[in-house]
Amino acid sequence: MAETILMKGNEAVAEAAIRGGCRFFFGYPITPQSEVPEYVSRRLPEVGGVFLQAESEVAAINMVYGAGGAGARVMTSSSSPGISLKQEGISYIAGAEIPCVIVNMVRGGPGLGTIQPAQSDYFQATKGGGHGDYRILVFAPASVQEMVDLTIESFDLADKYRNPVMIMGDGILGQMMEPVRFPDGPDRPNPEKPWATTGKRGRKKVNLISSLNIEPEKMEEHNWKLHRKYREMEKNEVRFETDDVDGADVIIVAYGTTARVARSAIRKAAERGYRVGLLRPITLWPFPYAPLRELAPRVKAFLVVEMSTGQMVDDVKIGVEGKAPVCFHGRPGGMIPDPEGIVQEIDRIMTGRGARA
Amino acid sequence: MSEKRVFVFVGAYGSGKTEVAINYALHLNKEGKQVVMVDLDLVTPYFRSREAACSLREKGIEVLAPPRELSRADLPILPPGITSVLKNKGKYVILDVGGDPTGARVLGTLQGLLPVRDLEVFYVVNARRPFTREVDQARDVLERIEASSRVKATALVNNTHLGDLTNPEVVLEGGDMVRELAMRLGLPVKITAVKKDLASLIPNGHGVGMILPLTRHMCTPWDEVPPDPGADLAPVPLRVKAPSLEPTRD
Repeated sequence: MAETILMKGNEAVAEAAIRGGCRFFFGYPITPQSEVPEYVSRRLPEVGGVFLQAESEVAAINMVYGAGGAGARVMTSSSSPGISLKQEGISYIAGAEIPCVIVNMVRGGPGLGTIQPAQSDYFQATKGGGHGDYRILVFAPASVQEMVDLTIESFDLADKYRNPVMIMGDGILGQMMEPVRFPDGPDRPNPEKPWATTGKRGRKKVNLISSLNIEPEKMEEHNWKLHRKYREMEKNEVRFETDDVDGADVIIVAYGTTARVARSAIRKAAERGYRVGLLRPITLWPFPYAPLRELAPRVKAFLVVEMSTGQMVDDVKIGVEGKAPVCFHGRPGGMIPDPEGIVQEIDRIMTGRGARA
Repeated sequence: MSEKRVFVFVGAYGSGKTEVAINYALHLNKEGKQVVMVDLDLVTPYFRSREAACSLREKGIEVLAPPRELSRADLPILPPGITSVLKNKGKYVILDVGGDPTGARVLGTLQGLLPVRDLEVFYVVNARRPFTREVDQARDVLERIEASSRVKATALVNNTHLGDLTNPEVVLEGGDMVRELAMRLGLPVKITAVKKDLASLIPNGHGVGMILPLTRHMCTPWDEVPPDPGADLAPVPLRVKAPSLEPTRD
């Protein structure tokens, strides 16, 4: 196993992309993720790759479309306002079925907002973002090591489904430093892509990639094809982690940074005699509805904790199917929930004063 | 070591300059010196010395940082009052500079104000960070920092660590690299910085310098720091700001 080193989340995503076989990066700087382009600008030339700082996020995402369409392993990264700018391109990429990886180190919004960490891009990432009937696979790592592991794998999954994969972190996950290890061995290989637009190569017909389908019959057919692909992703790719859910009175549902804060809160709550578990979605789309459905009859309540005014709450309610109350504790706008605030909410729930979401 | 009066901390991005600078400020403060801490970090968005300003001020350490309402603006703001503290011979001044050549560039604007005879420029190295793992890499980073800041390092700091996974072997292995770097550069290693609980396990010796026990001040919101009665000050939960000198969205 390789030596352990100390990395910021942003640096780790960048190195992991290279280990995942990424050789092209197009982006535009924005706090708090600028270490990603900075890092790949140093490293990609060393491995024969290309880093390009585009003139805007819109340009960058369309370069991703081009490189991915030509069969390359390609990534872009940004933070909330920049990800909003990329949405048209992401919709085109999803429609054209081009594999790529997109990193969003979320900051407080709406608008230009603040450079502080947030989780208020959940709706944008999981419910559309751009126009049209499409989905993207969304990973929500909660540590720098998990950011490494999921980023490496993202490139394989993007190719497998010919679909964008998003790594959704936040300012804290991007800026904080933790020890990490990278797998030994060569970078992941970029598989053969017979559909890629690399010239005829002896084929009779040229490959064409487009998200344009003028005939509605063909567009409908394409939508159903995408739909079947998304059902397949829902079947295969749901990931989550549970801690101490057996016998728990309250289960916290939280992802990323807030799951880390929740773990501290759970330890404090245990000192006060409360049995609290954690369900941590690792994929935000597809969402882990099944474990919620299974746990719902066994708990007094679920407590959703987010750095927003409550966006994942809707998905938790879908999973719970009304079989248990769903409460919420959140800090929006770049503030971070503290463990004590979560413990107080648990205390309110356990004494019948919890606020229903 | 304290015959110097102005201490500059430079290093690669994420090398631990801020933690070392804060702990060094506390060390001078304990010796009864009048200490001024200057947050010169114009490039890092989170985890900067201004985040510890309140606790440092409680200890009687003066802190120069951007005004509170602008401390989290994504703007490169030089704090006011630097010139006067650099000229005041009664004050010990710590300059916590941003990482990499980009972060160090701001030092160039203070050229001429830095008292050459009273100046110590510490190059902080963590041998477990991605771009300073080998002697050649670390030397290259320093050369680029010196070129952009127009200030030469005068001493090295071994700040090799792995966060929570740090053990004495990690510190000592890093020490070997930093010592070799020091030999090549013809500079002394003047500080080995190490987590407080490990400090007693690091042997004194040639090329180690002063062992500076570190109390951590830059923490994540979920860090559970065990109560430490000897702690110099409470850890400061993360709060933030940031810029880059390149064109960027605010």
